[in-house]
Amino acid sequence: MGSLLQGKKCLVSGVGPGLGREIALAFAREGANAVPGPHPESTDPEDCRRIVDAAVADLGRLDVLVLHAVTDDASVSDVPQPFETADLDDWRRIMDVNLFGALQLAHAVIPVMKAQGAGSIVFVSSRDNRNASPFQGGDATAKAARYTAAQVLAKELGPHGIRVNTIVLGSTVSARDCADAVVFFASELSSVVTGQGLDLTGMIS
Amino acid sequence: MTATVDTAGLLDGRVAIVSGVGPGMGRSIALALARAGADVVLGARNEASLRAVATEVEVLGRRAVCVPTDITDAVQCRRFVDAAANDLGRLDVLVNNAYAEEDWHDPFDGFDPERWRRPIDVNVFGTLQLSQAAVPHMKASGGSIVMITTLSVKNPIPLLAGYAASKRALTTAAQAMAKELGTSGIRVNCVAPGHIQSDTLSEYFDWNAEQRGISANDVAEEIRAMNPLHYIPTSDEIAQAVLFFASDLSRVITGQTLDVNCGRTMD
Repeated sequence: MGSLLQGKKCLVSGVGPGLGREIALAFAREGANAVPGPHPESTDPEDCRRIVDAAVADLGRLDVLVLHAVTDDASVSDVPQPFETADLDDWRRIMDVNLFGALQLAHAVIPVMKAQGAGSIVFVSSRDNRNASPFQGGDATAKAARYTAAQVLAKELGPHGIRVNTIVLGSTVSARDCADAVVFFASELSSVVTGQGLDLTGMIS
Repeated sequence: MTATVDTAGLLDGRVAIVSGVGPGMGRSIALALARAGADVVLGARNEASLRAVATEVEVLGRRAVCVPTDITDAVQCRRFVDAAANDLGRLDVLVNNAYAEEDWHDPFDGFDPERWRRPIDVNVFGTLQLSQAAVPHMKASGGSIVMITTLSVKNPIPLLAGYAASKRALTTAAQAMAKELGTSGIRVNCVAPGHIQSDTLSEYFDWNAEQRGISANDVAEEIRAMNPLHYIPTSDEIAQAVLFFASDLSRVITGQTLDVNCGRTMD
């Protein structure tokens, strides 16, 4: 039990049985109130606005937004596909889940954080988008788009006191390990850090 | 940017070494580690500044040991590290904060290679031999080594090219160390600040403003406008990122550099 997020009000997208749940639990251990956001595939603006309004009504404010990517989503095939024969509608689907779902929710939260003059948005990405694997181009491309979007948001929202950073998951990292790294970007420990990515490498050798 | 965070317990039972402890960044790092529960061994060449920071650490209820140290001397490095094991029982964290920069008054066309020797000796070889001395103590239960590098690694200031080159070399060395030491549970990461609020920076603003016939605040505003948060961090704020790498929160992160400069650089 710690106090790194004491009193922080947090919205965590995609809270299912896996990583989203671990993030919510880690936030609670550090003293935050965390409420679940919509499933990441929800790109409907009205849904997003309703969830954000409900969260603000419940919590009074929103200090932290975690945009958790879901690559193990059942609606997205994880079967390796060479680009040459890939169905680009699959790529579009992956882009919807990973990019537009996250951006739609960010859109709904930004006015709240701007009015507060403070906030931290944390994107969680899996796999290293700076070192793409072959035959998983749809996923790598979507993650790279998220990463770039996070940097643009960091530049646009910095003057309003909103920080935007990305956690990049390595393949050998547990959900619990990842959640603790997310705590860093969510907390004031990273108050002078924005537009950055942190690779969760595991112990490399 | 004045919000504080309660870090109590994050480093309970841990022992940390900080090099280059004076009134600035070294002090901020030592106090951040102590507030999180660590006992600290403080090193620098100037013993008086060590004592001052040690007193502040003791006020926080932690133990502090002062070891006047020049990190270019291998014998002194070993003595510095041994103080952690002998006086405080263990060693978990090493923060390599000590550095040297060349006298920056001569442009490159008046280049004298000797000017580069000091930053390379201190920032590369001094830091590496202190780290090398620390490794055996960390092998038993793992550890974290943090290098304080600089924005200049990516964006060198012309008159401080030797300093920038030395920190770039250190960054590469840190990556190699991370790969070699990962199997021993030892992590090695870099924290790269840019401008830091300090008396020295204020003096620079005054000097630069006088040269250009503008106000010191205009100069400060130019610097603030270089980053999205429109802010120049304090050493205390940067030390919080160092604390993250020192702590178990970052237990699956090694070989990385984090730019702690309010978003001035992104990659």
